[in-house]
Amino acid sequence: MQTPFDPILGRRSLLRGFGTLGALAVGTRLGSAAALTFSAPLPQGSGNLVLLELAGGNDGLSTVAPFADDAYQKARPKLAFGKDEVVVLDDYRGLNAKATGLHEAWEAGELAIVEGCGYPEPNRSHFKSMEIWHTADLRGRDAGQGWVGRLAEAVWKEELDPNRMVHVGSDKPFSLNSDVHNAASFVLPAGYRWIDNEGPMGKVAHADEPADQGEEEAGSTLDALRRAYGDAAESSTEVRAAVAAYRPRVEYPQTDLGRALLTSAALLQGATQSRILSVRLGGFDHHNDLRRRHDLCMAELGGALSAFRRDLAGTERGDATTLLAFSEFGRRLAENGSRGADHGVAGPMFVMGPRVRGGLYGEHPSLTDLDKGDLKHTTDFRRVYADVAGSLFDVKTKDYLGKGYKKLGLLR
Amino acid sequence: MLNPALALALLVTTPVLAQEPAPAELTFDLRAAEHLFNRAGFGARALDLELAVAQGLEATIDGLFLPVEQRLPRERPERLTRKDGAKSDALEALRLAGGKDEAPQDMVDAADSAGRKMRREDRRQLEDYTIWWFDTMASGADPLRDRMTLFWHGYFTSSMDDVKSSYQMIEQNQFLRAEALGSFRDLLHGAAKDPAMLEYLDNDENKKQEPNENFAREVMELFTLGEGNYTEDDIKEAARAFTGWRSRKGAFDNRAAAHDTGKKTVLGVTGKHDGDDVLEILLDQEACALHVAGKLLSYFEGRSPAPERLASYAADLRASDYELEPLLRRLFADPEFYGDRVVGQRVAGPIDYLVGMSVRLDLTPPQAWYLSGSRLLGQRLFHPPTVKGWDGGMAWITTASLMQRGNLAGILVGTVDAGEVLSDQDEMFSGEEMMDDMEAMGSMDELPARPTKGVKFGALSGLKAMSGKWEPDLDLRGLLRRSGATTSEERVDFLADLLLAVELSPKTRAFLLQEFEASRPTQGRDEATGRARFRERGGFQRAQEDHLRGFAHLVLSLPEAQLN
Repeated sequence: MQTPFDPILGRRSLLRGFGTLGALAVGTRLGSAAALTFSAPLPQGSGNLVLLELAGGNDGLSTVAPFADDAYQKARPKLAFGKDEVVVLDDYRGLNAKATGLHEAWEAGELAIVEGCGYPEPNRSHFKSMEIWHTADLRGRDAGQGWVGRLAEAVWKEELDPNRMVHVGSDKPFSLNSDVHNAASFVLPAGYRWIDNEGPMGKVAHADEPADQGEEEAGSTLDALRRAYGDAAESSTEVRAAVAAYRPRVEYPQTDLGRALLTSAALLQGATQSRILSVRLGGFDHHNDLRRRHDLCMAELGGALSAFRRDLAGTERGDATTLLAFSEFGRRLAENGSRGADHGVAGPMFVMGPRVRGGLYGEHPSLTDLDKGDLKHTTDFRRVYADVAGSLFDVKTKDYLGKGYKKLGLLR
Repeated sequence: MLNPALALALLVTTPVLAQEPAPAELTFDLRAAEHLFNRAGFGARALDLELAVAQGLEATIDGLFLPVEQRLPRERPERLTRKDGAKSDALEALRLAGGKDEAPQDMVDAADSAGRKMRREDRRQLEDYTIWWFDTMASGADPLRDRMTLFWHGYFTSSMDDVKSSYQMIEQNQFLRAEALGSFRDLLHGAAKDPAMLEYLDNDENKKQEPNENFAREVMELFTLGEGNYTEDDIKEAARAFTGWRSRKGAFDNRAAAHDTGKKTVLGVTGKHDGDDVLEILLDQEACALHVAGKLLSYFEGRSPAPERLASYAADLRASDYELEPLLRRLFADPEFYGDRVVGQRVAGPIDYLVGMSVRLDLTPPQAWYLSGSRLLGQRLFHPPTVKGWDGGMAWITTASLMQRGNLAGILVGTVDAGEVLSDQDEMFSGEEMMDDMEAMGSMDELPARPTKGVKFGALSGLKAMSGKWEPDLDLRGLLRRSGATTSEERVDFLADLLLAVELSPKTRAFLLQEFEASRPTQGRDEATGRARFRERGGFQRAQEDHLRGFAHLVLSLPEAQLN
């Protein structure tokens, strides 16, 4: 158990053991409004993680632009940013001007930029490379579970609450896949329920406990579905209550990412006590017209992050929250003929939050010593995972990444 | 791992392997027929299944390949966007006046409005076509062609989000439909020269001086070889061979000036290749047949085939020079296809779920139900999430999609009002789409009070438009009466059998029976008031029908209903 007092959570382990009892619990309505907003203190040393996936291959060189590098200006005559077009970080590089939330975090000393992140023998396929980032394993999906799924297993073990780990959006990322812990996933909280059928459907998952069936039935598709039903019934009641009760302190932008981060804030602050949130901003595959389109992505990113930061600032859970942004790869140094850039390799990762020691980390990849035209990675992305997760959760890195990684010291 | 050759020998000599139990002989009974139609089509009505069993397997398979003449919404789609050559006076006037910065405001406004109207009509054309496709899927008139068109739509996929032309999206779909059961070689060559595909994968931008690798990469990774069977150099070289292929005014164009005529080496073959040469080099690879056969078998069986079985299917595919019909015929007669590990073990995709449900209940739902429903469940036609199409399997299932499936079933049988499901989902419309649709909202007033078959809901394809307006033409009471089921047990069994592709376990059956009994209306007098419970004429019958519909809604919401 993670919390000293908890009338709602923690019943998940009960549920699995005693079907009928669990069924009753699922049907129980949540209590008063006070209970919904109640916020139990989290145990010492525990934090929240928000994963932000920049899908499609974020162009790192347009996010943190090395304006002072001649090789950059030369390789990207149409795409390169000049010093006066970015928010200058130092005399070499600057942040994309549209990414307001990142500027604010940088100013506040709450943004760490880890440059040149990647992995050995880089794969330039969106899917394979994203699998590698999601599993933190060069084999990709063949490795089995997602890295966050393994982390959840290490942190929560037998305590199987689907709301501990939530993806807000469509297409749950593979990183949350776990053999044990199912993560909740939905687009909009209000429609997240069984209309007219909530009572009976709450019982369905337990109408036929897998344990009572023959051995050969274990692991069937039907079993996996039944588990998902149990999780859905449990998760939706709590999620809707938490979101309905939440009063954000700022207005979020009316964008997909803005809405997803608003819901994330509600779940971090609410009685669901969600600890790991996942959101996605897509549309980064800029093979053409990169500057204009990437700027649009940066504007959506910046606006949503700005609201999220300000909303959480100074709250207990907000102080415990760290956001980690990544993409499956960066883009090629040289621009292509369509004012775009093709799939590349290394790119920056961003770590943001009150606990972050702001600044630049890692080493900027050389723009002259290239691997087939691509930036060579200088920091293994798993080192960043290990550093962040290791500070937020009280578990051994080996238990979810297979081995230890040298600390970067990104978090206080 | 067994040596494949040895395993194949074992498979031949011992009909039952411990890992893959397969019946030695295939009995084509109702269960098998239902399975065949679930997978090769989108389900079948009870009568059609009985007919299939009477005909036998061979004749039923023959029937799947019979050419069917189908009426399209129109012969060819219209070119409705400027990139396809459509004209707009207002936009042209703006251009002549020097663009937005120079022209007077009223001219800018007129052009904006004209642009929105064009986009709206363009989306509308694709919606009409999508509806036509849903209707043919549900009609069962040409089930295998519909099924394979859907497969290729996810395989050689393109998205309206990027292509932004209903004309090109429909043309692509018509091509995939025409070739769906033909030759993979033709499909590959055609897809590679398809205007929508060339735009979607940026080959429009692939020029001699400045190659764009996107297309070359996806051709190898997704269309032919699969990841790991080529090098980065192969991609760079192949990209050069594809230079010059582009789409112009919605048609294929080979621009010689942009083509790199130099020598290239792709997968060890050197020559002055063009795009077609590269496709042939790819088709020559053993990995290609394995990739294609593997994708097909996994799609139809819901699980990856054992390596030796896949190798055998791939060998056949090569031997038939990539003709698809022999492979499909072999699969549909393969006892393993009808084995316990396959039948009822696949997660039904959103379209399987929605169309299958309408077919089983013999209902023709409003178009908005299909359009919004498939979108809500994550399979919006012509809008695949990635260049890989849709993942399928358990990836369809999230805690939220399970609930929405049940809610959509409730709408279909009339126990859930559509407005409840989508009232919050309007936000799913993107800003631009929303704006354009708002302009067309006037058409909402023209909705008939009680649409049943084939009613359109205008540009706003949201379920909200169905609210209070859909009453299914469903008579479950009559159906049960005719079936001869009288006891609660018999009724539960009949409905479960009608609505599900899998057998119920004893516990789930007991649960359903309990729910059925608990909500069953009874005649007589109310104990508290002493009054008759149903005083209005037909009141009791109506209550019985509502009870049965509520029960059908429950059954269709079960985990078992997500399998087929």
